[in-house]
Amino acid sequence: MSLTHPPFARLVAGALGALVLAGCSAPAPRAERAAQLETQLAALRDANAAGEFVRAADEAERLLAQIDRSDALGARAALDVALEAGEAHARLAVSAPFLREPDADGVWQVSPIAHRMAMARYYALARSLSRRAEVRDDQERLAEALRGADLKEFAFHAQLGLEPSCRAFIQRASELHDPRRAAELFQRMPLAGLRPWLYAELFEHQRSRDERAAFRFAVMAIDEAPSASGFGAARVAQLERWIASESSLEFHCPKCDLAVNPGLRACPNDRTPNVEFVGRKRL
Amino acid sequence: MKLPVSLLSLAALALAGACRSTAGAPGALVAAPFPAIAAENLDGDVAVEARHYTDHKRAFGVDLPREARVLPVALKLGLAPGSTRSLRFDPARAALRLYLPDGTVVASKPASTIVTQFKRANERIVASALDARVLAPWSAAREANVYFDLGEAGELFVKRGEISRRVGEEVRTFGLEQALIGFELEVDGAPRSVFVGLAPTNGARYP
Ligand SMILES: [Zn+2]
Repeated sequence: MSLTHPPFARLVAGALGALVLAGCSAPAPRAERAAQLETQLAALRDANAAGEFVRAADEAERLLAQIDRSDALGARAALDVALEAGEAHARLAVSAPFLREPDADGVWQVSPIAHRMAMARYYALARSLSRRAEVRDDQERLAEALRGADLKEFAFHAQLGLEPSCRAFIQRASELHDPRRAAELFQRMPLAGLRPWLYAELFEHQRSRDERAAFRFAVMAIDEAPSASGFGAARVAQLERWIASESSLEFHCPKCDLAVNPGLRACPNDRTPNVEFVGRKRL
Repeated sequence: MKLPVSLLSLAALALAGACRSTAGAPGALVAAPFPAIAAENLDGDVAVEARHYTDHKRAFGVDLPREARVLPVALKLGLAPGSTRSLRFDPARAALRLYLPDGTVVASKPASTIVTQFKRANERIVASALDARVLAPWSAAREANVYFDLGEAGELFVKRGEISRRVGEEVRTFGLEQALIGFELEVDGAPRSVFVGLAPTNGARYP
């Protein structure tokens, strides 16, 4: 079993150093402490923005060991750091994973899933700190960041086929039941490569409830499929099959009434996108 | 479609499971936890449950994390109701793995290679192991064990439903209910990955 991850060893050493320093210094006045935390957070954000995700993950762990979270200022700083740490692992999962898992031959291969587990752990920490964290004039930005964390975790569970937790999340996130609102939301968020999984999971939720909504989610999943590695041809074929024959509705172009061809992206007569087609009972 | 900004921010709060707090810091948001990974899953043709019996000593006669450096997990694995596919599980090709929340991954250990000082325990480890099989329908499925390799003493510890990992001077402890299990099987001959959470619980019995 290989459990040795050099970055963790480095980060523990860093965390210890920071703890020693923190223990030796007198408490800083609030304004000074706020400025110091802001500087540290800015450096962390810069590392993520520069694509230095390993450094960002290490630095975040070091800061989390160092920050005093007992007051609202510290809780907010730790919350922001946890969100950045989650982002670093989300990006490592797709760009340069270093955590490892065994394959069927017992060979340890890089593991995007292990990074997403780490991502989820940091997002859970951020949520748990939200109750005590200070919110300044950036409530919308913070809410948006927490929402992004939820959607990334939702996509992670959807990719793994973890149905109970996906179902529980969708049930409480009523905004996601409406295809237009969900699409508007997903397009605004940095969810590259994840949208087909989100749409496909929402399709599964709606197929037995609202087939018109399910159709739109299915079409959007198919449209976005090329952007996501791992969202395979078999999954696309399953969605296309539902549109073409399994739904109790058939979908037609609102302009020329041509029946939908799920293998195309739009009506061949007038270029109306499939997502705008309308459903009616099959004859 | 564009929504007014105020509506967007309301949606943001609702979707993050967030609302204004009365109990938290002034002006705080309260974000609801993301739903936990369930220890049961029904994913297409596969139905699966995973338990770690904290009282497994009743069935094996020994505490396996301590005596054999393995974590026993009882898997119940079957064909989902309504499925007509053929599902085949082979522990030698399953790449069983236990993901911990910090990104640590623990591999499984073949039952035949696990040794304690007690002959009867060794026999039970093998006799109750999940072996190669074509999966039965869920209604006929029974629990059988897989074992995760805790490696050399000093790095991973399991106690009362929690797993701890030592990293230098730091010890990280997680409830096993936060872990994720993954493995491979074949559905009509095609490879398929399956995932499920893990429930630490009482109620061990020797099958
Ligand atoms: Zn048309």
